[in-house]
Amino acid sequence: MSKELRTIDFEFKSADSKEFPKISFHYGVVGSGDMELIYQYKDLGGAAKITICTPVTGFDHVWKQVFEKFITISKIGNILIEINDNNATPAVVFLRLNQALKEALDGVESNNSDLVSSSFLELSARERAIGLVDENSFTELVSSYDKMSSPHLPKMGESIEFDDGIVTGVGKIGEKTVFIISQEGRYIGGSLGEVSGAKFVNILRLAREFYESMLKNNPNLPESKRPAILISFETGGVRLHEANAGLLAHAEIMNELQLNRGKVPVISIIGSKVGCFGGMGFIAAATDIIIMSEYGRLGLTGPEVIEQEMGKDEFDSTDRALVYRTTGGKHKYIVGDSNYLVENNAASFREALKKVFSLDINEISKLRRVGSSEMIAKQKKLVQLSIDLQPKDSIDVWRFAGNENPEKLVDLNVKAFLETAKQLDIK
Amino acid sequence: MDNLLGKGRLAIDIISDKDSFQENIIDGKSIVEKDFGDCAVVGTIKINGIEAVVIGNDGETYNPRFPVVYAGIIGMEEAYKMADAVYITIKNDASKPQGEKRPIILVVDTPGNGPGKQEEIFGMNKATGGYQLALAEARHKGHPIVAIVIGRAVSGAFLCHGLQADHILSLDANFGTMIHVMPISSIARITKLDIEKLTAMSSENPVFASGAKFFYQLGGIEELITDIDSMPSIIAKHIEEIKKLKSNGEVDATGPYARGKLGNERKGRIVREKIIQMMNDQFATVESKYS
Repeated sequence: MSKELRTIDFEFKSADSKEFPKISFHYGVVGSGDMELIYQYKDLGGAAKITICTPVTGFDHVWKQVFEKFITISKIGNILIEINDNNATPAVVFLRLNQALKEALDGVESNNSDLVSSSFLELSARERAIGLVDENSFTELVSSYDKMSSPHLPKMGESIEFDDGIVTGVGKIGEKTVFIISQEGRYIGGSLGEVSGAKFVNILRLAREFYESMLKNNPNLPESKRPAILISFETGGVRLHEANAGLLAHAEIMNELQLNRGKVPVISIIGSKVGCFGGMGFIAAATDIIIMSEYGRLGLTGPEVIEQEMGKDEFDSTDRALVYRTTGGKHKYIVGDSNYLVENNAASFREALKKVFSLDINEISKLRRVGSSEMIAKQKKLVQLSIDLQPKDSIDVWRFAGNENPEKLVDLNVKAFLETAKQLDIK
Repeated sequence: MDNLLGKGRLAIDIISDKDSFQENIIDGKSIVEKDFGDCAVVGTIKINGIEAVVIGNDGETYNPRFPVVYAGIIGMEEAYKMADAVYITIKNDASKPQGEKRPIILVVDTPGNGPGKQEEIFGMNKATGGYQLALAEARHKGHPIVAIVIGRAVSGAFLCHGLQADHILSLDANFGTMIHVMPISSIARITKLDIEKLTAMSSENPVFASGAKFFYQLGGIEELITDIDSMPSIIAKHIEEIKKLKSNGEVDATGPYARGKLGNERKGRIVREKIIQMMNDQFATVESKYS
């Protein structure tokens, strides 16, 4: 397990090869048992050149067979294929090669209308970034094609990903320019390392500098043109393999969030599988607005750690319902930690964003949870409530908030929940 | 003295001028109304004659209202108490010019944030996030903030209490200081890498290993301190340096962003700069599309 990552190279040529179009095409996520690839045109006299970066040893002959079959059947040539593998089986490799080739040849771009209506929970980081903004408006910055993967992981034998598990870029929602950060939970839990940390931090700076230059050119910049930042979280925080660099990046992010206040609103989007935990849990808490789906989860300490600390009687981390009641979107909405609760699709997140964008920056600032002594005074009342109420379960807090049958809220769909649920009101 | 682990109050006494520490007092008034945030210590000290607000951890007590908060852990009450101290300092110094804002000294010895169910139900993440924003605001407004690690500076708790400072100092490993996200044994278990291999790798790559010297190489610490008695004079020296660096209102000359640059200079984090440059260059080519 602790061998370094290695690269394997092959070259094949099909007798009557078909030339790959003059494009670059990226496909896939380096999840466990999965892989990503980049296809790129190159004049190789009709040959195909393949480079695989993998933690696997001893199966070079299998890789060779799979590629030979792929090239023989597809007859594709004048192509460079680069693969980052994370223990994908030969069947998965063959499947991915073919799926990717079909999409590349069909010229399939990610289609917004599919993305905005499908389950947000299932979307990759890149699909979320594209789906949240207007069609054809997204430009990725430091993308997979730049291949800025982690310099630290190869020596540890951990698979790399060309985008280091984070998608960063810029797009439009109406006339507003939005800067986007989107984390990929399938790649090492969406964790933050040196590269992904630098990408995250610099988007926050870039957005502020862009706003300041817009303001310089137009001191009467209308509110509708004020840029915004969206962060689609899917992460447990620091990446242990490069823990120190990840930690320092978290501190930089918090610094930029404070500098962006009153200038560029920062909006958290939480509705992906891994949730938003660890250091990223307090990064989200420090943003202006939080939008969650009922499947979104937000917190600081993960359920397993609490169980370890307090015992299984106090918190059973295998009780999925309990975990959702404590950290999920519905609870966070009732206690006011999430400003909006939305359906599990990008279209609903976009609707909430439009509501946010109808507010001016001062109104947005008032929706924050922390960031001033007045807000802290209000939060301290919640802490007092924790002491007075000693809730055994979030349900106790829901009841205290005025919900007469709190247990019933758990199973309501979002629309019915929003019509019924009372939010905690602390004066 | 071997070390100051768990002894935040003693450390405050060591760095303060004799009998100058006034607990809970800022500008003559108590900022704490009742029993609150027992594991955090706040107040006013003088350090080489300079008045400063001090915020530390008390590793020798526990919070009777929150069972997971003891031994220097930062719970919800602790984080809000610490944030209050910062906001009151900002408010009381609001009319002072840039160079006269009061220094804030963070005495760091904390093993973590409150890991409990109550904490998750009511939002521990807001408490630690709120305190960090308070510190960042004070730093941007000109208050010199010096953190000094005297014991444990662990993961999210170090982010909460320490990493937002202008400059970070640490007693070196001879004093038992622990700076890390996780000890190497836990990293080995989770990443399934051999502990021997990880330990060997850490000598050439500081990016994951546990210890003050590795954070120093990454630019995460400005200066390592090798003797306890020199703490007050070194803190005072950094207060002056910070004042100079921030005299024209510069916010990137100190703090987390400056430590990123320091990480590059010390060759501990060299890819960070490349990413920033690449992203800026790429954005410049499309900026007009978005203006």
